[in-house]
Amino acid sequence: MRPTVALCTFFALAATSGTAFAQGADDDLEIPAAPADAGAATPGAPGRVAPPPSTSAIAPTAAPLPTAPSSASGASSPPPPPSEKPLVAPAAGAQAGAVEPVPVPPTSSVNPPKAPEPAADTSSFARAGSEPSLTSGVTGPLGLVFSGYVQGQYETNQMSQDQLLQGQVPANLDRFLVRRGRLRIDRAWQWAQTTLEIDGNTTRGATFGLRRAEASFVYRNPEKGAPPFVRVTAGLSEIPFGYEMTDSSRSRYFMERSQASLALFPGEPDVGVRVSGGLGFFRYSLAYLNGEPFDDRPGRSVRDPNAAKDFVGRLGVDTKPREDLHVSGGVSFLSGRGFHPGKDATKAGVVWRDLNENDVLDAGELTAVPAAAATPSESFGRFAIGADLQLAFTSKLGESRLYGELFVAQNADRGLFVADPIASGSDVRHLGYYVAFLQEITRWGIVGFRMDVYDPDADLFDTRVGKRVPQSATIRTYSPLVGVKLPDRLRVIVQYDAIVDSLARDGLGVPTDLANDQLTLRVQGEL
Amino acid sequence: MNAPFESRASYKDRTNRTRHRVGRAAFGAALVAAIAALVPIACSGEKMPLALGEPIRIRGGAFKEGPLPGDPPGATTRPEITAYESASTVVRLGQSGKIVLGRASPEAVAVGIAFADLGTGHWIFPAGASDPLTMGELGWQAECDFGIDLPPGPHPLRVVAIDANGRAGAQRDLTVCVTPAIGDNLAACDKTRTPPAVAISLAWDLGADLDLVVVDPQGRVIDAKHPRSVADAGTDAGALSIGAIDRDSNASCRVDALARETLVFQKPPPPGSYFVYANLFDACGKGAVHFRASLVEAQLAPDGKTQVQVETLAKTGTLLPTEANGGARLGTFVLEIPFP
Repeated sequence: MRPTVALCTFFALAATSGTAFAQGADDDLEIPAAPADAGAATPGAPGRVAPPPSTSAIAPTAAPLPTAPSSASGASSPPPPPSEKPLVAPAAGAQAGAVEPVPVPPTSSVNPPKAPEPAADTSSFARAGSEPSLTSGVTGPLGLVFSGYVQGQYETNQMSQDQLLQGQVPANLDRFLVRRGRLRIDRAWQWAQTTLEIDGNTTRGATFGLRRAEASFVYRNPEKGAPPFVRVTAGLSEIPFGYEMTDSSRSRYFMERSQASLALFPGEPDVGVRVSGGLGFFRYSLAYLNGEPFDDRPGRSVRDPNAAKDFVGRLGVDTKPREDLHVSGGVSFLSGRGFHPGKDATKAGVVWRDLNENDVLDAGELTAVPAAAATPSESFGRFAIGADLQLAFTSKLGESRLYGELFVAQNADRGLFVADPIASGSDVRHLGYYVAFLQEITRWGIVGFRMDVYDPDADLFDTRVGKRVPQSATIRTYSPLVGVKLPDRLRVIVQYDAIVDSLARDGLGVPTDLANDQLTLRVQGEL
Repeated sequence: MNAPFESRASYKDRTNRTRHRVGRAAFGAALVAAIAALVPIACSGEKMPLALGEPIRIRGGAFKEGPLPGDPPGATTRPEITAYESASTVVRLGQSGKIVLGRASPEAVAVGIAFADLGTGHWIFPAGASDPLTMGELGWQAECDFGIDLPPGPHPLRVVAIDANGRAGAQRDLTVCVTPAIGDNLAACDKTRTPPAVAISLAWDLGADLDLVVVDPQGRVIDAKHPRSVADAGTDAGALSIGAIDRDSNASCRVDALARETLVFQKPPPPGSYFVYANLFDACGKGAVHFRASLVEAQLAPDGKTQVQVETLAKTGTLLPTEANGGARLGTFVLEIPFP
């Protein structure tokens, strides 16, 4: 099986590297190795967080944690004792992993002392493990760290029409919208961390909702930039499946996750408990969740309808075999039970069908509809397995990143062609994968391309002249993008999604590609 | 390698410029390559317009711009439509779910349908299963929705069979009669029929429950609750008509998409002044409702033989949701119509 071979090769490569990759492969924020007293941290000392000049000062945001500080500097030491003092975010230019500012002696006015330059913009390729909140947020009172971002965009779709769909839903898809407006508050201590994040958007009308609410016990790794040995999290948090699910929407250049990921997981977060961490190059994350991912669509119920929970996890590696090469990847799984809702009891009724179409009630046109008893709800099994691989190479031109992911699933589509084997009478098998490439053009530009493929039902049939013939419902999306950016301040990205599917009918009534390509121009600003 | 006499700063500056040039060139090249690779894909795809402005819509069908393919009716080219029928050839404005069905010769794979004289395109839908009782001919059935603004009168509804090579055969017609919004006793399609003598109609634009209320010369109210007028004692009931309101549109906020009520007098109504009101029974959660009240009378056509409906009086207005009264009042006065 090809994915297996690729994974074996990948693990073999990872195993040959003894270096521990400092970047956290986990999806959560990583607080650099914690001092017992943040205020007493020694500047420049490995594994220490430089204290901010003032915990109440609002400093301009700096670059988030660089992708991979060398592990050589991370001298191992026992974990420090617990402390109730909060860990605070370093201010601009002093974020964890960045080169600490070296005191510069006063010189002549011709050569004034240079302010510490912000680190290179690596946020784009940084995983959520170095998500900017605690490394580039604004530290407020009580050690609270505030961060956020706003994504405003204009999008136009070939399918757009100035009409209303049934149910008064506008068919116009050419519009301005706020895709995400997120505000996040973090507070961290030596052994604990709490995060609250809210999201507002106008994707389907103006809505505000909870995006993340989690409390964690953390057993930290003293090594600089390394993920904690153990983190136990409870609350609303990311689903640890694959790469895209834990990749921050803030740092991701592509507008949305791939089609397969969106189908299997309509939203990134879910409520439950999770255990995650890392040791050396090994990363793990296991979660026990409701199995109802939070969607940003208003009115969509996210209350868990059944007692069964989803068991989700990812085991992976994160390593740096060379100074300019970063390799990470893993395998993921999901096992749980979906829910087929039963129907309410109904009262008896009468239906008129105007058989002769004369607009008059004639004999034989009334049909009695008897009362019906409620039908029971049923649960059904579902699973998904996936593998992901990411390669990042740094050159003078900028960073190049090649990554991809593969999903195989059954009855797990919860967002697009929602799978319900009770209703369809047979299990629904899904296959999805994507390959993406991103190339930084110095610090100021980015180009990229992603091809993603999703087959929502591998056993689909269509009817042609009364005969059932195999039919492919595969959706292929080709997404080039180009963008410019002011590192850590603003980015402007244009993405074209060329979508090839089978949702239209040609002149013979045969399924064919629907003209539904989309162009999106997004401006993202950091708070 | 440093150039002779070039300072270190100059060298770094030049190197940086070179790097930026390389970067810009690479950026441009990548952009051009991406665009070039995407053009063939981006230009593909079949449009699937909702076509809600078309006179006919086929559920599950695909709308295609342009005329219906195939040869005119009467030709003998194959594939052919071998049977074509409907339960009724009368089409009401905005009618939904009308079934037309038939059979096609065995080589067909799809059927196209369109009005021969209306619309900007045609619809395609797959042919059905083979019928062993008819020598393997393929059954087909289309569920049709019709536009709300079709011109009244006869219109040929044309179908054609299409084979696997996209070749269309001979077209076939079924003439349907589109009735106007105000009932005309099918006079638009049958010249031997006469339309009602008088019709007082109220139409509006939203899903609100608006009622037509007419007060006759004797002060009696004709509305949705009392839909028929009463002939006066001693009048010639054979000469004067009893009026009737055709429906209670959007009653109890169950939207029927017609949003029109009409008081119809098949014969001239009793003389006197009729007062017309528009009453907002229930706003149904909507905003301001715009209405139009009109008087339609039967008049001689230019040919001097047949009669046609002619709108002789009309008035528009607006009702606010605050005017909803649940039938407690007559409503807003709109027209006074004197009949001789």
